[in-house]
Amino acid sequence: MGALCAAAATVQAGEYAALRESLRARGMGGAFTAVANDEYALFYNPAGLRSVYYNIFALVNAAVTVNQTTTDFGNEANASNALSSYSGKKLYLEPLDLGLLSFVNSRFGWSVFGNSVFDFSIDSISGSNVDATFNAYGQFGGVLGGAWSFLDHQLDVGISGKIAHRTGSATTVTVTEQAIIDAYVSQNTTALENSIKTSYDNKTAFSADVGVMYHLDSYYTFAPKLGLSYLGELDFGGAGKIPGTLNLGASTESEYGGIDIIMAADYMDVLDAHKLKGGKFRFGLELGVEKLNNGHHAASFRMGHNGYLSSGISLNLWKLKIDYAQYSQTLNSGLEDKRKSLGVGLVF
Amino acid sequence: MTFRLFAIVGLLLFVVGCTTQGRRTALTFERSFFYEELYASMEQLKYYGYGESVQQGMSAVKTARWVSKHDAEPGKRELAVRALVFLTFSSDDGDVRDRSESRLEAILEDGWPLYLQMAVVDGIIDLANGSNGFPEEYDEIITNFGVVNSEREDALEFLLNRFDELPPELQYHAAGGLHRFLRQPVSLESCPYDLCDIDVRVDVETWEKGKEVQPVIPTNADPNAVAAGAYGKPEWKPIAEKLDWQEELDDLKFFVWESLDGILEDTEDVPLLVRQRLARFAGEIEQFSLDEEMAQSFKDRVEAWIPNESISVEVRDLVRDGRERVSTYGAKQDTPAKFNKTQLHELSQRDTGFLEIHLAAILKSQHNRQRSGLRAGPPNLSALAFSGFDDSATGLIRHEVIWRTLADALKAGLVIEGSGTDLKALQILRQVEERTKVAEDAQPTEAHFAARMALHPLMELIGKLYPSLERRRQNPKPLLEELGEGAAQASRIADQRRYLEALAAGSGTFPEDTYTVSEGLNMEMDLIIRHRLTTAMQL
Repeated sequence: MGALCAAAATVQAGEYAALRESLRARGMGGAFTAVANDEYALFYNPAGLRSVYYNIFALVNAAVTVNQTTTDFGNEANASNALSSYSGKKLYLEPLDLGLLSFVNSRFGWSVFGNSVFDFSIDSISGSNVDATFNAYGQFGGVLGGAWSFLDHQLDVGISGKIAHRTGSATTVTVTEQAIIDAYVSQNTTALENSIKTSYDNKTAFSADVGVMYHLDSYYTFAPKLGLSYLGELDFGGAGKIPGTLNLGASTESEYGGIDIIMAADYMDVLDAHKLKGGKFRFGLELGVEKLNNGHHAASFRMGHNGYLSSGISLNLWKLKIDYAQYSQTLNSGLEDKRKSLGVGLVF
Repeated sequence: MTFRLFAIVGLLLFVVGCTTQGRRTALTFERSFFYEELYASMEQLKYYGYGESVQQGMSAVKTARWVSKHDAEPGKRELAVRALVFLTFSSDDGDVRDRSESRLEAILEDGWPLYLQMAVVDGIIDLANGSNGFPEEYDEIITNFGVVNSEREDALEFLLNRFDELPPELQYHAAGGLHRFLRQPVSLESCPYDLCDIDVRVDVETWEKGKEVQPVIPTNADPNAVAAGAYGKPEWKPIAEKLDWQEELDDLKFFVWESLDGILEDTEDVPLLVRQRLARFAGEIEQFSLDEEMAQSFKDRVEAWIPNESISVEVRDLVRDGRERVSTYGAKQDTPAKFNKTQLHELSQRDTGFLEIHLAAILKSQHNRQRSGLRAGPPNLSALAFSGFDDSATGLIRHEVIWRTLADALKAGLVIEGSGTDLKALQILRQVEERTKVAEDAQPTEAHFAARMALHPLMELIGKLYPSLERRRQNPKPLLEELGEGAAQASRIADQRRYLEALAAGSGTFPEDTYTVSEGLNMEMDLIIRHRLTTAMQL
């Protein structure tokens, strides 16, 4: 059990772990705590529901994410030659992030989702010594929340509950040169066998989230908001853990020449539960034009900074929504991991 | 690469982008102090908040909320409050309604300035009367878009449900608003859009005249008999829309009338003066433009109030007296009052009930004598109205009865013949003002509130004294200057406006003097009262 916990603790070490991420937020550098105003509000800040002015029904949202290393690795002619150059990097793939039958409006919302992640980190390669971790899981679940306004709509408070079932494993590989020699020369594979530790779990977890937004209404031109959310811990045992996370955010919404402009800044993981390797500040900017009745702009462009630049674009073609984001995460090794996400959805 | 893409997309969005009306109105309110422009912009905002896209609606309500709370110019805030009233009950978006209603509740419950609280009440009454809609243009004719009756009822319900919790002065003001609503005639301007579509609204003539209905003539009728009119003549009958609107407006008025039950009953939350003001409506049922059957329902309700022991005896007395006035003199005081000179000279010593029953008819008789070229004769109206301020419970309602009845008579054309009316009026005005003053750091007491309420009918009466001054060839300047001075010294915008409106009323009779005095005022004026003053001067 101790081994499982130890393995779980390493699942996303150095990198922010979330149950589900919005491509819009990724494009904005992850600064979304005080922005959350769409069908992803329940995953960032349930109080954000009060900023959803539409009845948004997302029949389906599907997204795929892959990192640059995986793309490069696939293109590499000689993988064995390449491995040594991947020290400290990871192969990362979210083959499918699926949201189904989500509904949100300004009072309540729910979402059903399923997603999967393959995450292979090569922590170090030196000669024949290899330290690597391989995490893979698939999960599905649901989230349900509601929000209320107080103080003449200056203070929004939201709560939500989420449940998720995850099946996954965490494998650590610590191969030493001596273990390989023993296996080949002495036919003693014990050390080699001991160098691979796998934890596997199949577990359901649930938790509650709470969030608040405070509207500083005396600055109408910018409509500033302060947001705070606590996203409860989800412990899937050997399949990983999403620690309880306290995030702080601020955002402004303004309109200029018909363009809706959102600027946002977040201070993530105040309680340091994620042991983030990169900085905790996130900054984002979004420009959108012509908000349609499905709660999204006909076209929007965004960029952000979480230590690295990110950007994204969305097109909302009647009910078909296409999102693209390119962003980076800081790995446990401190290196930048560039990723790209593409999503399509039918949002009404 | 990212930055280049950002610049290109940003430029593209800028070209495609379409500014919301909320933003446009916000910009107009930032730069303009021109009433007509601000008013037009807020009317546009109402239109967009009513039924355009969610984005337009939210933008509209955000602007209205912001202006109502944070704009430095009181007049702009009031315009925004009026728009919020409209959006609260008429927007087809639930969030727009929620946010607007929340602001109205905050204004009424969280101690916002009285003039804004009054703007909420006035906005509701105007919505119920159909004038708080928005202009609609059709065939180059601008008509008023009036909201449907159920929304008007919601608005009135909002007000009536909170009536007990309103501050006393606001209750008094709301009573005046309800009076205005009950006296609202059936008109094309007030007709809801679902009853009177745009084709009906632009056809004023048909609305006024009605439609010609030919008599039914049998096929075998003798043409000579037809020509001789044996089967009757064509008749002009009101159009169906007008009849429908009459029916619906009657229902709406009855809804208000029924709601008065709870307010009239003894409660510490509603001062006696306010309840008595409401009770006096009983004597005006015939002025409510009701269908005959509905008028009877109103009277039946009144019959139920009179023996209701939950209603205080003073209130019930006034209800009974009001009805007795109508039964004695008719709704328009067509039956002359028959009192000898001695009785009339002693009128000021009679009780309030007597005045409620007979004063209007006595004043009508005076007016009739004046119209015949005779002197009005007793009673001495200056002495009756301005002999001194009594802030006891009975004194207040006595002032209410005398001042309002006299103001109505002056409006109808009666003039006060005694000299020094203005000085006497100013004397009592100073007495009332004195009672309204609250020591620094002290809370206003019931007596202060009573005096503040008494200022309402007194100022209305003073605003109708100018023709009497003209008849006596009196210089109006002392009165005008005193009103100007009162406005300058008023600490609250609501009081300031009351003085300035009484001053502006002088422009009809003494345009030059009123203009000179108003131009010489050394005070800050909000744009609404400035607009009213300017308009009054131009008329």
